Amino acid sequence: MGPDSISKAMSAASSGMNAQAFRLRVVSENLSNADTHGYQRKLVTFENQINALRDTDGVSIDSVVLDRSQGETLYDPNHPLADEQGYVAMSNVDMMIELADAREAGRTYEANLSTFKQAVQMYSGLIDLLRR
Amino acid sequence: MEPASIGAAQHYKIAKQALSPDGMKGGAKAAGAEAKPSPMAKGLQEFSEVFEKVETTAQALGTGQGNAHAVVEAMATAEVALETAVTIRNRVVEAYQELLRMPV
Repeated sequence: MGPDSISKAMSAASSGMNAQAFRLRVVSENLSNADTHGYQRKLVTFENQINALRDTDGVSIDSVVLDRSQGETLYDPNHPLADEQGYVAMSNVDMMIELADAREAGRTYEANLSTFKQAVQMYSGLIDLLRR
Repeated sequence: MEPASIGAAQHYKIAKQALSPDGMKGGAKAAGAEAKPSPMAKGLQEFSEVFEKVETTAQALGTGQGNAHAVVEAMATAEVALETAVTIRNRVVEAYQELLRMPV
């Protein structure tokens, strides 16, 4: 006898919260390196995770890939990292994109939190029924 | 004995089985019955596993390699399991008290 749907919902919500927390971590790492020369921002991809043992679906981190796009270049011949033409490659982190991503991660986290709370509430309602 | 008391006695007899680990074997004791665990013993085993999971996840979190989400999930599951167990226990005690109140 496997776990019932409510506990599966709880584990799916938990995996969603985990994934969004990881996403926020990557956003935070990108933001902290916003001024690092030559830094390439990281992107997170998600994947549907199927746990055959518990017969549950959840989400997991598929991979973390680098955004290869060219960042801003600044003309600063005195900089130690400047090339022959005197240009310095900045990071390709766009604060606007990172903050939007952080906000989206927060919202999705809240959604997962709501389903988790809902599942707990459904369980307690079920037990109340047993209590009479 | 009045019919209501007979009903109470029967309810208690059914409910009492929930408290003994091998209670679900019932009256019929076959020779090879003790080889496989009863549903009740299995349920109790799973019940204790739920709490073991809480302990291991909380310990992992304490040592810095754990996952807060796993702890919350394990604790919510444990809370549900404990509440269910306590509710069943209360029903058994209730049935027993009903039996005690029975006029003889």
